[in-house]
Amino acid sequence: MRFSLIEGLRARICNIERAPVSLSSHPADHGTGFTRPACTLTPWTFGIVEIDHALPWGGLEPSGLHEIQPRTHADSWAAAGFALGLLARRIVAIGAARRNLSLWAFSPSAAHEFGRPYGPGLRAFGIDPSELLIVEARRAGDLAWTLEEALKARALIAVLGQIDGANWTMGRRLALAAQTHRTPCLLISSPGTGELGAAMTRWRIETAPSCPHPFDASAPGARRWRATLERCRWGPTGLTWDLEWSDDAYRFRLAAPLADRADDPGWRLQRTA
Amino acid sequence: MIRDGGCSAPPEAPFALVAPGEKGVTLAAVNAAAEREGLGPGLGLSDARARCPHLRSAEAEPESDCNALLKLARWCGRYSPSLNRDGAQGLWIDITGVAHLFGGEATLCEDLVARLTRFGFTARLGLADTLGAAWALARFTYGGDAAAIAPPGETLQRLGGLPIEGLRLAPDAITLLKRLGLRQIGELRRLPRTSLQRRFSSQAVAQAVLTRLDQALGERKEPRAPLTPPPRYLARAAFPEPLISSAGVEAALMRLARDLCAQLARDLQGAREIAFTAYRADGSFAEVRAGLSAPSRAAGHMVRLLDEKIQAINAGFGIDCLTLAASAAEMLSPEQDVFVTQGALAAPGPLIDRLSNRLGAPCVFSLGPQASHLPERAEQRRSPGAKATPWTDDPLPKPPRPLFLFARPEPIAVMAEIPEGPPARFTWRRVMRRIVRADGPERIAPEWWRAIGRSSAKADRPRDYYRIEDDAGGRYWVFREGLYQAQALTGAPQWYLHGLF
Repeated sequence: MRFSLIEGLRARICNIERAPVSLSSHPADHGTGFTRPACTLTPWTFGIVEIDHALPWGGLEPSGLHEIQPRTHADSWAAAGFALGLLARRIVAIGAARRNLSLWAFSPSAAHEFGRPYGPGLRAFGIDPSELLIVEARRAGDLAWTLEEALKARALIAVLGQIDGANWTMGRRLALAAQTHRTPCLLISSPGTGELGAAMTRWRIETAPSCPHPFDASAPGARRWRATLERCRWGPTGLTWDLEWSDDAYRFRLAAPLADRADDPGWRLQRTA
Repeated sequence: MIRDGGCSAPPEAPFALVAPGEKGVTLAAVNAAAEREGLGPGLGLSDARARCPHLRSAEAEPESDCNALLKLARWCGRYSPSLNRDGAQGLWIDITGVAHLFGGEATLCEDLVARLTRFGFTARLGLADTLGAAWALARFTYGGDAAAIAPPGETLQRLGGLPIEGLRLAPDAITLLKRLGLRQIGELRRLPRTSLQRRFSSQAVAQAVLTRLDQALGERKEPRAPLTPPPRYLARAAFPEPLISSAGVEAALMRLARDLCAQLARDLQGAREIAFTAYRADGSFAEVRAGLSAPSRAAGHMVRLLDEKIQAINAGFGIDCLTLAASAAEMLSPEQDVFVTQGALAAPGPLIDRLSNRLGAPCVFSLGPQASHLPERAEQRRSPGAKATPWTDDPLPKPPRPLFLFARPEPIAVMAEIPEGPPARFTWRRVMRRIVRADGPERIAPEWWRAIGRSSAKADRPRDYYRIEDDAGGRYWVFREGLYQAQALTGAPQWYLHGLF
């Protein structure tokens, strides 16, 4: 009786703080350790048990701001690829029952610097290019406005922003909009900018040399990135994984040197929603 | 309508606009004072000076007069959306079904004359059942009020006493009619039609006269071409006191939007484009437009779309009339609202509209497939709301395509190990990259039908694409344009970086 009362109060406090309920065992084992309406809670998993267990939400928080920062300028494409991989995971998690629109906003200078998203290439991530709204906003203010409006519309499954000079206020506003309107926001910031205090997680992405292609040793293999979890609210930080993206299965997997693929449970076990 | 104002001459002094004519400089228009002196258009300037030595003159500017008239016509949109210029000195306004908004036809005419007088125009109005009758009434009614109104059904009575010139006829037809002793429209009307035809030299002239007569009396329809196609759905609000603050405009906008949406709902229509026009008290107006990606009749959505733009409207001396029109509308059947709203995603239409109206429609797009092997032509931008071919019909391209593509391939400096192989090192953006893995080539030949008509031999050089990875793991999609064998013909091959994975 007393125990359940305490549990109830704890759940209420956690709900107010929007934190996962830290119960006796590991949160990820509960799956939905949150005390929030179940219908909004489509888990957003990496599909890799090691990472999903390390995160307090059993995956990424589906209604929060997540910052993805390349380590150097040359890693910018890797950071965008990582973000698109997460978006593809989100599309899988939500299911293809209806139109799952998402939005990607960037500035014309970013388009000039990094190139524009390419439809046939997006398909390798399992993303239907016709369901990705692409927004090119000329001014930085317009870009932030676009992201905030997109979050507030509640019409999108995820919002991606490639933003050059994100500041604390912008991060806070986006985080609030994401929380209130239950739409996740992935922000790809430029290397060397300060961190956004309001982000739920912050990933630092680095390009890693790929392993040889299985059928052609001289050809590049699957995309490989080194992802470091630099910040995680209510979770561990400083963890690093070498991730590969599988163009065939549309999913992440741990790169071979860290985990033998034969034993990688994430590779066999389908943990999609 | 004669323009008096705009010059420094006092209205009581004789004043004329002059234009170069066949016999030297002639008067083009005169003011009332000059008319009293016996001057009129067509008179030579030297003759006029002789008759009236203190006549002041200025060069006529027909083009700016025409523009001013057009501006005035647009301003008259406050009365009715269906209107246009009529000749060099007239306007027509179709006030069918709008007179009651102003308290009746007489009040409308009074209001229009009063406003035009305030702008410095001398205006005469004719109001009748037909365009032809109104034209005649405005020009050939003398004395009395500035507005001559023929009540419904009394066109013939009012027109009967007017001179034959009121029928908009060619000068030679008028001369002939006058020679026949027909000076008034009523006299012409009383003649039997067949006998009239016989008196004219040609059938065409007789037909033209009869057509004009029938049009004036409403027995034959007259086509009208309004300045802008009048919208089918229009909401309008007039204010006795001009609005100065934007808060007042915003409040009125909400009311107008509700009114417009009610009109749209009655016909099961949804707006695709809306135009919000503010008419200022000084005769100018400001217009704001917004497009919608999907038909909608949500008043709140329309207001939000226009909200940011109406901040740019300068109230000036005050706004005394506002209209909100659905300039394009489409069928919109009522749909059942979502029963379970929790967890469901909202419709994306309002978001797309807001983004494209603020950032400009070309800045918001999604990508659709296009049947081409050339990478830059394999996709096309399209507006996000549009339905188009789905991507799923095409198989996934093999070998893989990059995630990012440059709008223009960027030239790179390459050190190739073998002429027909992938590069070993290359320099892009002043950084040297050492290649450790490479895949390719994938040869993509240009579309030969595009090279037709282009003189340059470089236009149809094939490309060899390589997927390469440098020692840091960066992956590039580079291509060599041109063949080593055909070097003499098409020039040395060049390397480009087209995209990144």
